[in-house]
Amino acid sequence: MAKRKGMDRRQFVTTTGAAAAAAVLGPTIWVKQQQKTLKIIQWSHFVPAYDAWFDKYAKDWGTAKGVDVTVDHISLADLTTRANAEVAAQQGHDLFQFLSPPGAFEPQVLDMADVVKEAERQHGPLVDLCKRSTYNPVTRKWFGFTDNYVPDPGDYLKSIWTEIGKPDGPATWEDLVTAGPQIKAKHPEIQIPIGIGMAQELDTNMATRAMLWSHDGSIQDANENVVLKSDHALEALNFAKRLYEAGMNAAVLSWNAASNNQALNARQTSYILNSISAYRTAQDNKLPVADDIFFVPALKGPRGTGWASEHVMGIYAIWKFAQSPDVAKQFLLDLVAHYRDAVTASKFYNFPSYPGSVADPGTAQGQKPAAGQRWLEQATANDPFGSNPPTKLKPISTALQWATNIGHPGPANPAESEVFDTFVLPTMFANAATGRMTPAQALDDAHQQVKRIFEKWRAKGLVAGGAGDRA
Amino acid sequence: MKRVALYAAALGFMAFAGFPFYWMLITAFKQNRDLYVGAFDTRHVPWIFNDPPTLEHVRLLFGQTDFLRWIANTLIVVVAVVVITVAVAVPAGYSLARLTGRWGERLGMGIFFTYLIPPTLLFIPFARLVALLGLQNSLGALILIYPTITIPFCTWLVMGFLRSVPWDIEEQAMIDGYSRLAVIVKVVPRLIIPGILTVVVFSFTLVLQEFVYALTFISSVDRMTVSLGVPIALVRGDVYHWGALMAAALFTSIPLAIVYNLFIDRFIQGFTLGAVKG
Repeated sequence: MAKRKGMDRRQFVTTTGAAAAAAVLGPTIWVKQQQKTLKIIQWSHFVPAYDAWFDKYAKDWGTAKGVDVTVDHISLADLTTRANAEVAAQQGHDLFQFLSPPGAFEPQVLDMADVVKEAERQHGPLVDLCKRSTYNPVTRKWFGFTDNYVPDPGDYLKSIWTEIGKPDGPATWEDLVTAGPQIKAKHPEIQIPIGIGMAQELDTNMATRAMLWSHDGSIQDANENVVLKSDHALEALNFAKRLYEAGMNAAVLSWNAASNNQALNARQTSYILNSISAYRTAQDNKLPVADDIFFVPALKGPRGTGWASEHVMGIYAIWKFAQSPDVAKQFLLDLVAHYRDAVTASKFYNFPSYPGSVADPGTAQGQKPAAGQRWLEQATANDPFGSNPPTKLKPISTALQWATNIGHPGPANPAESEVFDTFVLPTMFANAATGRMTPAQALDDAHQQVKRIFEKWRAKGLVAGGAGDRA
Repeated sequence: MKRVALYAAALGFMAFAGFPFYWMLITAFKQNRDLYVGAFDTRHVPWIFNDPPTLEHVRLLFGQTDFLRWIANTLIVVVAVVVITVAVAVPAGYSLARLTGRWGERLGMGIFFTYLIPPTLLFIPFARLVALLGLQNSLGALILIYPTITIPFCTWLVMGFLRSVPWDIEEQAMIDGYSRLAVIVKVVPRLIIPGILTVVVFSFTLVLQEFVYALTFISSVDRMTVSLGVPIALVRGDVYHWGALMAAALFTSIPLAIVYNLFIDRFIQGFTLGAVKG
C-alpha cells in the first residue's frame, strides 16, 4: 500500500491545534516570564486617603519599573491570622506589613540589614525606637523594615478638664485618679471619666505598658531577663486598681480598639490613650467635639518617669519564600524616599522612621535628620487639616522624647511579641483592677506566664538573658 | 385574659426579633452627628432620627466599596457549597441512619464531632492544602473548604430527620416491589424534603457568615465574600464606619430573613405532615 504524502487528518488536527494553542498562549507565557511581580499586603489604614495615595503610588512605581504591583488590604486585627496562614502555606505576599514588632516570625523572614543600611545611607539614621523594634541583638538580624511609627499621646476634652482646674489636661497618672471623682461629681452623665481599656485589644496593650513603665516597672530588663515581678510593677497594679475604682466601670473590660475613640467622640469619657485617629474621625464627621479634643504627652509616674508605647509601627517583613525579594527591597527604599507625601497623606498619623526622609529636597546629607524633624514640628504646629487651633497637634511632634518600643528597656524580641499577642499585661491589669485577684497574685500569675514564654524562645536561640530572671 | 397574655408575649417576641433590624435601619440612615452623641445632650433620643435621615452611608457602601461584587462572589460560593453539601450529606445521612445499625449512630456522632473543631485550629493545615492545590486567593479555595464545615453538621442533621420518618414507609415500598435503590431514589427524597431544605438553609447561613477561612484564603478585594469585604473596607484601624456597616448588614440580612421565614414555614409543615402522608 502506497504511503500517502502530506498530512493525514490526525496529523493535521494535531499540528494546527498546537499552532493555535501556541498562538493564543504564547504571548501570555512570554509576558508572564518577562513581567516581574510584587504583592503587598497591609492594613486598611484608618485614613482612607492614605490607602488611596499608597495604592496609586505603588501602581505608578510598578509602571515605571516594569513591575506588576498588587496591594491588598486587611483589617488591623486580622494581620497575625493572615501571616500565620501565609507561613503555613509557604506562599503569599512579598511584602507583609505588621503593626507591631513581628519577632515571633523572625525565623520566617529575610534579614533586612542591607535595606536598613541603604536607607540610612540615603536619609540618615533610623530613629532608635524603631531600631529597637526591628533588630534582634541576639541573632543580629533585622527582622523587619519600618517606614513609620505612630505616636500614642493622651487625648482629652479640654472643656471638662478646664472645669476641674486643669485646662492643659493631665500631666501625671495620679492626675487621672484625682480627676475621676471630680468629673463624676460635675458630670454624672459621664459614666467612664477615664477611658483607658482593660481588655484584650491593641490600645489596652499599649496603655498597660505605659502604666507599667511610668511606674518604673517592665517585663524584661535591657539584657532580656524577665523582671516583671517587682515592687514597681506591684505599685503600678495597685495604682490601676485605684484608677479603675475612681474613673472607670466594667465596660472597659470588654472594649475593643475602637471603643475609646467612640467614647471620646460621644463625650462619654474625658481622657483616652490613643493616636490622633479619634480626633481625625471627629473632624471628618464634623462632630462638634473635635474642637474640644486636645493632646498631652506621656503621663509621668510617681518618680517622674513618663513613657508611652508607639501606638502602632508600620513594619514590613519579606518572607523567605517571597517570590520577588529584591523588587520588594527596592520598593521599600523608594517608598521611604517619598515619605513626606506619605506623612501628609496620612494626615500626620504616620511619623517617619527615617526623619531625614522628610527633609526639604536638596538638604545636605548630614543635616537631613534635623531638617526632617524640624519640618515635622512645623507641620504639626500648623496643621493644614483644619485643626482649631492649628497648633493643636504640637505635643505629638515631641513623641520621640517619650515614646518607646515594646520590650523597653530591652529590644523587641519574639518573647515580647508573644507576650504582646497573648495579652498577658491587659489580663494582669484587669485581674488586679477588678479585684478578681489581688495585685500580688495577678503579678505573680503574669510573671510565671512571661517566664514560660521567654524560656520557650530562649530554647530556640532567639532571646538572650535568663541568668537574671526573677523567681 | 389568656388571649391578651398570648398577644402580649407574641408582641414581645416580635419586638425582640425585630429590634436588630430596626437598629440597623436607623443607624444606616442616620447622620454621623446623630450617631456620635453622648451623655451631654439630654434631649437626644437614640431610638429615633433626631436629624433628617441621610443616604451618605449607603453611598459609601455602594460607591466606594465592592459590595455588589462581594455579594455576587458570596452567591457563587453559596450555590456551589449547597450543591456539594446536599449531594454528599443526604446520602451519607441516609446510609448512617438506615443501613449501618448502631454503628451508624456512633459514626454519625463521630462525624458531628469533626464539626466542633474550630476553624481557628484548622486554617493552618488547610492553608497548606490550598497552596498545594494552587487555589490561593480564589473562590475555589472556599468552595473546597466550606463543605468541611457544612457536610458533618448536615449529615448529622439528616440522620436526625430520618429517625423521625417511619421506617415502615420504606418497608411498605419494598413490599410493593421497589428495590432498595428505587426506595432511595424515588421514595426517600419525598420523605425528607423538609430535611433537605433545612440542609440548604443551614449551609447557606454557615457559608454566608464564615470569616476565618475567607480571611485566610482570599486577599484580593475583588475576590472577597461579603463577610470579609465589609469589615475590611469599613473597619479602618480603630475607626468603625458604623452607618455603612449597618447598611451592609441590613442589605445582606433582609433577604436572608425572608428566605429563612419562607423555609421555616415549609419546614414545619413538611415535618409534621409529610411523613405521615407519605
